[in-house]
Amino acid sequence: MSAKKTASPLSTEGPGHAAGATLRERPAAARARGAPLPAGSEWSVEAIAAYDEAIGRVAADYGLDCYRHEIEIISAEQMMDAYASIGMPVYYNHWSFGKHFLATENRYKRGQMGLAYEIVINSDPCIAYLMDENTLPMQALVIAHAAYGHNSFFKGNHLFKQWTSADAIIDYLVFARHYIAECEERHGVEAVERILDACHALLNVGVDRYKRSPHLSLEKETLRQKEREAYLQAQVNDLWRTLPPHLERAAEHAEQRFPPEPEENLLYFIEKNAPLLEPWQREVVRIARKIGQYFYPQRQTQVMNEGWACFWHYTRCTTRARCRTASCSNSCSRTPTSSISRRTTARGIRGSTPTRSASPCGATCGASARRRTTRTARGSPTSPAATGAKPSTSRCATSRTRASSRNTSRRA
Amino acid sequence: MRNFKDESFVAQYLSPRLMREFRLFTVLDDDTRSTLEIEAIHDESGYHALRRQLSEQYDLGSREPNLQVWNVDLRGDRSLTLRHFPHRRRPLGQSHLAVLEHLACLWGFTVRIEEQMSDGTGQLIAERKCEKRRRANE
Repeated sequence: MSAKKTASPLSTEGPGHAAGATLRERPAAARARGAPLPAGSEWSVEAIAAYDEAIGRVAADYGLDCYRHEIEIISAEQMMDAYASIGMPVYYNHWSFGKHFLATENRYKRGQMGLAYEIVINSDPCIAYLMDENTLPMQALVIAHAAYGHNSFFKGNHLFKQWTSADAIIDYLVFARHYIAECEERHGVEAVERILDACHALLNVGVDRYKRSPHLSLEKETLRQKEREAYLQAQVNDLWRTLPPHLERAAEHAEQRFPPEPEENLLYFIEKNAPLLEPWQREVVRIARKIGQYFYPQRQTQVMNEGWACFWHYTRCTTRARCRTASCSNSCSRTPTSSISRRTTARGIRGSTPTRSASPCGATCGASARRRTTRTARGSPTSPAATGAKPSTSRCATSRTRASSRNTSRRA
Repeated sequence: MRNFKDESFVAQYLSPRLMREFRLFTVLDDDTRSTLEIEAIHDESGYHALRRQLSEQYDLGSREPNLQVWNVDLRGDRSLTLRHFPHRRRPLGQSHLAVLEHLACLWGFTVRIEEQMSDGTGQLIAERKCEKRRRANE
């Protein structure tokens, strides 16, 4: 499993961040304020940047508090790759991810499932992966949905604040990947695999549910270590050895329970107390545990997170429609059927396209399978207008995808 | 948005209008009864029960087994005992044996799962033996 989702990175900054806004400012400056946003169903980097800028402005008007974000355009294959690694851009290697990838790929090729329109990562800067098969209105929609909706949820919700550190997760994942690769080299793939298999089996009972341990800084940790040593030194006194033994106290000691209080976090307990694990094995357990803990708030806020993002993409798009009807109606309503049919005849490959709008949900799955087969032939990042469906349609198709996929990542 | 998670959000904000629109109702499947019971529907008397039920379904605490490290026999065979606290008499899934296998691999000695009974005692439900005794001639 390699992370190769860097097809066409398009770094933009959120509202209020002046640095690095070159890509976004150019089209914005070229377009006079009040001029219509790009129309049509073909997306281009400039058009997406223009929409991103416009949506960002509305978000700022509403006072939405977001992380900075990066938008990356990825292909269907990369999307399945991301599925397999629970949406994370970098992840350590494990056979189960490859298995998951193949299962997704098979189902997708046979038209049994559609793929998500985007995946968004809870990190700072927040990374939003958009599918290259989306139409331009769909790209605008998912930018509003993911890059601003989910993003602000990640930043504001107390569970995410309490349990995840968005600024550190990517670094930690990179560290984990290197560390586990190193372990595989040193101790053999099978030994590492056995530990990871076991950790994955226990992942759901390996999270802290109630409290997060405070951050230990390096100084604090060394200080604690020194204090401990000093205490042990202070206890050394040869006189104690001469005292007669207390037999009844020894018996009491034998009856003492361990752990003194029940421990709910199994992986934590194993990491700290398993008698036979090597240090590197403990570190692997710790990595699996930490990443599992990172996903814990996502599992607790599925309805809210998705609802919040949907509310905001709807609100933002209708705001645009109100203030600039002609320009933004494109992003909020169905692409005119005429353009679909024109494209159909022009490409001469999808005679059935216009009928798809009759049953959007099922059609999306079939359509994406067809699209994938033609994507490579076209060789350009353009998309047929099959996804020019209404926002409600996309939500519908989306929720199905989400329901059938692993529930740990946010997809729209 | 800031202060809620799914369960608390549903418990607080699921409106009667939405319940009527979705035509929600609850089904009680009790293993001690021979029939299913429709406990509540989307009417005046059922809104509270519906809201409570749905919010409980989003509660990870009730969806996932409550397993805790109960005891380690430090001065004996180093065996690890987990205790399962059943929620509404729900037993552990079939895969608990496979999970136990993985746990034994990490712990290195015997591991077992007990179930907490109503009187506070534990009843053994699964055990994975793993002895490290060396023979004399080795």
